Amino acid sequence: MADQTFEELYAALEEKARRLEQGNLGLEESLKLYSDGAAIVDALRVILEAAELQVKTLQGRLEADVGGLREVEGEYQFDED
Amino acid sequence: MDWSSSGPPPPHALSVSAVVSFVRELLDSNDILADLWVQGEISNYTRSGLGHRYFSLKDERSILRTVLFRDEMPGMELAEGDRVIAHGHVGIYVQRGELQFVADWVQPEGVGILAAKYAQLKQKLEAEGLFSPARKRPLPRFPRRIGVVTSPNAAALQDIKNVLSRRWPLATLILAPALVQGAQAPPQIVKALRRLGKEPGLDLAIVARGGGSIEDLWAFNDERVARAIYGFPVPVVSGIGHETDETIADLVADLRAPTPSAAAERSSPDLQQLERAMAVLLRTMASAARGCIATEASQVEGVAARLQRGAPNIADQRRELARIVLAMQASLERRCTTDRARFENGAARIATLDPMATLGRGFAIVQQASGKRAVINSSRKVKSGHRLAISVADGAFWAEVS
Repeated sequence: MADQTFEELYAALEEKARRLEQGNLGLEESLKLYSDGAAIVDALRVILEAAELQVKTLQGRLEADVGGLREVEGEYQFDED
Repeated sequence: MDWSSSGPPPPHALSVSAVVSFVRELLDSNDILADLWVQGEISNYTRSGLGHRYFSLKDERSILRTVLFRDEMPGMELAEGDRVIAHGHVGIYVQRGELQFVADWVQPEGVGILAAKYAQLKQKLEAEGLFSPARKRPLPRFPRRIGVVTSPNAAALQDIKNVLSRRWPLATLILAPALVQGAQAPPQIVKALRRLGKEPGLDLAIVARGGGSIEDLWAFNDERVARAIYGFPVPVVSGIGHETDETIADLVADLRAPTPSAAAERSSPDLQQLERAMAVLLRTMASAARGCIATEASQVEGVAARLQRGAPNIADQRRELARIVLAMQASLERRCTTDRARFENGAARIATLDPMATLGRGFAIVQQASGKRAVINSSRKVKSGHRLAISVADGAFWAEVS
């Protein structure tokens, strides 16, 4: 689960819930689905707890088209056109 | 010198058509004349048989012959003396060699030039389909990289940051800074959008600026900005001005929000709601799992029950025994009752035969007063003057037959 995105994990959780609700499952399979689901929720909570908004600013001239991101402090200086 | 001879024209003389064509090309190639707004008063207004409208736009010193073709502004009522603002291009009507203003938009002067421009551009872009609801793209559910085009030094950016930090800190906000007001704003906004559009992994973009007058917001009514938003590779959310402000950018955007903060809200899921949703999902899964356990358990119970039914049941047998005992007691009870009844019946009958009982009812025993005291049970046994002994229930007395 370490390298899966929030989106992938959440989708997996919803899929397990769907299969459980459909029913017609053996006891072992239902219990496994539930415990897997609980593990995913734990992982999602860890991700959410740790998250902090990152802000990056596009810098540089259009012609250079570097596409790099830099942290920018202070007043932004606009390019001369 | 013979002036009357008609030889070839001097080399520097042009034909009339050539001259007129030349002037027309000059006018057509001029940027200002190709796209301008003119303000004036309507005079000499006529309507041709085909429905085209011809008039002069005039002021104190000049007139400009104008045509408004039938298909442009079909419902528009124009009258002599109306003061209007009109949009169109200036050209030459070649057949008559006349300067002509071909109008595509006419609006009463009172409306204001900005409002007129807005209405005209809105209609044009709408006709092209830039506002079409069908093309509005849905927003991704969990956007990881969110672009923002706005002024880096203004409150709108801070509002967006605050909202995203609270609701969806998982995101990375990528700022493409631009002026959001003034003549330099539209080209900067377009440039910022172009840069942002090249960012890999971008999920959506927000175009934002805080509140202001129609002039302040004017950059977002620019045609270039509208087309840049329309052509953006991922969905664009607009958050411009206050709730009641509407700009062309709002109409082109995939989603329009009333303010920059609202734009950030509509672009992101909410942490707390997510937490609740996950809790609900888990609860649902738990009860579904419990349902499966219950089904299994009842199946096991069913088997156990079948096993139990085969074995002797002590409790049942005890109950059976008790039942038999009760039945016997009841039967015994019934027999005693019957016998007692019979006994009492017999005793009662015997009692009625008892002589003492008979005496009690008023009968008397009559005997000879002397001798063996024989009982007299017939009137023939007595004679007058005989002495008798009469016994009644509670005693006896002598009596004389008379």
